[in-house]
Amino acid sequence: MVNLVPIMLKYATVTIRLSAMAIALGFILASVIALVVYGKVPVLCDFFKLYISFFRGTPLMAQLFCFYFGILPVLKELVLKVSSFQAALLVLSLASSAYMAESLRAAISSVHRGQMEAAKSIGMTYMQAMTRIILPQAIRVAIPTLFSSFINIVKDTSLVFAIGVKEMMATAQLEGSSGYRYLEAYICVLLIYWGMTSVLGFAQKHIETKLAKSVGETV
Amino acid sequence: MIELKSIHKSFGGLDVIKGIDLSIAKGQVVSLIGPSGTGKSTLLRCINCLEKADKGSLQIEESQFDLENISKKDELWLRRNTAMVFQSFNLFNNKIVLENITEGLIVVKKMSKKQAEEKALEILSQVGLLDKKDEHPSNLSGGQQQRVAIGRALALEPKIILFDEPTSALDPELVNEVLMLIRDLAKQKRTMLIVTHEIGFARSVSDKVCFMDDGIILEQGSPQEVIDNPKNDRTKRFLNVLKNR
Repeated sequence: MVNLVPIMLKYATVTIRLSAMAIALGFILASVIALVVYGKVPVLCDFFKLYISFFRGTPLMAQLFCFYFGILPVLKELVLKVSSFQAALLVLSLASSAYMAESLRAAISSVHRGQMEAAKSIGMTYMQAMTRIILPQAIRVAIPTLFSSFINIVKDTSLVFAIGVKEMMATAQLEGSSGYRYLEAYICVLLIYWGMTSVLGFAQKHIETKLAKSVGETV
Repeated sequence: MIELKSIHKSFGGLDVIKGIDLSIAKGQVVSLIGPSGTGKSTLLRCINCLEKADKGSLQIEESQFDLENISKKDELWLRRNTAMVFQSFNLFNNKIVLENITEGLIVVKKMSKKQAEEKALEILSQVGLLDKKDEHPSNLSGGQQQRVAIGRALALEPKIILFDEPTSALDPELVNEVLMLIRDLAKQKRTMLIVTHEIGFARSVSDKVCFMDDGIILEQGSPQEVIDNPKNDRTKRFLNVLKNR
């Protein structure tokens, strides 16, 4: 088992890179979607509602397969080449953005409407009120569910070996089968995932405390 | 001077304001009294553009606005030149007391941070809360929060301050500190329009009292005329109910 750890950790960097990028991209996309849906922007709002329904309502594995083995080969003749890592990143980001957009939208709605009215009444524009008053309060409400999404992204990266991304899970399978060391290999994988998500858990706790202070509460 | 002409507003077919004309001279304090649900708050919200009036015009000094077809730019101008004090204070919960006042100065009036802070400290000492400048709103009493909210309104030097039942959400023992502050502002000749159920306060602070019922102003005049010697039966009944509480 001990000699498995360095190999796993090496491929853990792929997992970390994929997770971090998917979290960042997914969050940015989710913010845009949440603002569009909350602001009831015509046409775009309906489009994103459908988008959320689709990505939340279909399995990630099926989305990965459909995109990588179904859509990409069709596109390949027309445009650029997409690596399996890039494909995984795209699908993970899109899928997670649907969940995160819902968390954000709910959090924005939870801020008392008097806050928006007060901001408008002193002459702030909608965007100023959003960025300076509403979102800083909404993010506090959204943190727990957002971090659940972040943790899910990390765990979901274990599926992408199925489209050929060589990450931790793929390595575990390889190492496991090469010496019949399945138990060691998978326990090793589980512990590393657990470690990664624990770091996220600590970060969540830290941010929650900090944000509570920003509204004058002590935890 | 501020002039409202023929303001109308309905919500989903229900006429809430049915043609209101009102003029408020510079430095005048006008109180709006009347039963709940008769459109008093809605009228204030139409002036501040938090609600869009269906019809009517509004003149503030030389600027005239058709409220029905108001542009985004004029809407911002109106909000920046009229200030609202809400029943439930609505202080920015993510800002400390000082920032609640500087926020508008920095973001809307484009003042430098240093200038804005100097001005905010001045205002805070005026409303008697200088020692609370670094507190969050959640750590203040209702009366203190409302005084900060009044400070936030004052800081922007609006042409009129609109008070929407400023003491209705307060515990009885906290009402006075807010009323005293508004009284001070009246002495400084601030132009104010106050929706209130505090009849005694309205009588002593106002230059003009309007009795509003069912979306129109039924009676208006000096406090002596409207509160002490009402002519309209509806006004008499309303004031009697309040007296016999």
